[in-house]
Amino acid sequence: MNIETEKFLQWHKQEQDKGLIDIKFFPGHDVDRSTQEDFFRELNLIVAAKEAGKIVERPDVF
Amino acid sequence: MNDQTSFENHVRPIDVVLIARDVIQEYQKRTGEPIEFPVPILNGGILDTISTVANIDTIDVECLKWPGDIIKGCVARYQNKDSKASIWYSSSLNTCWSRFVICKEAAHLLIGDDKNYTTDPVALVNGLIDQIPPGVDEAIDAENLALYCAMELLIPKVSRDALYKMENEGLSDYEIAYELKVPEQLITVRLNPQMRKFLDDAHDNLAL
Repeated sequence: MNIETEKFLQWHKQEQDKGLIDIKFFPGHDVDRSTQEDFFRELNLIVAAKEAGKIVERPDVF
Repeated sequence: MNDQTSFENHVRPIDVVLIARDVIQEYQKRTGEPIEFPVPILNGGILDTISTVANIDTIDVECLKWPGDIIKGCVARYQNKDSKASIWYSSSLNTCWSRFVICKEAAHLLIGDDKNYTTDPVALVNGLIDQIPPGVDEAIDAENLALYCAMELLIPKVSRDALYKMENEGLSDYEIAYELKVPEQLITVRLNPQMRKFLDDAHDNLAL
């Protein structure tokens, strides 16, 4: 069973209900060595960080 | 996902060059100043102009803590009564990569429409993992087009002379990248003979 994939798709559906119309990704260096589950695992980390409000201050990025 | 049948994308690389040109011109009109280098993105930089050109009410940019090995960043676009987009990038990225990732994800907002929106995230992810060639799926092709667009936003035509001058003076790709605050690989791609010819022809022939 693709636990991470299913977890993300559940979030995706919830967000579609809130008006999400598009989502795109910038692949990292390891993307071609990863599996679908690896990808969605990292995506779920992004969603978790966002929902936890764990924002990193980056004054160097302008 | 298209069933592996080749097609012509409705957005072409030349369209992307024109879109980036519009953003830079609109930025200069808004600020009343020529664009400076490194190109400013946040805090009144080109992201505000992208918001106007893409007709999106709000674009939030957040740096979040995740490894970034498989995904450097992502963008989610919402349309309700108001339009909104969120760009997230990994805290593992350095300054130059962060700027590039933000720009590339913002480029999706400029070139995105209902023909290349992601309707099937699993198909998109597998397309990215398998690195399927252009002409198979518009959502995947949009990744390459967004890369072109980000390159044109961060190294616009008005910086071309300065770029080639630095190259002619013998600066390495890394040194040029450091000046423009972009990833070294972006300079390598921009100075590649094929890319240089395509962009120089586009700039000159379209009087950009």
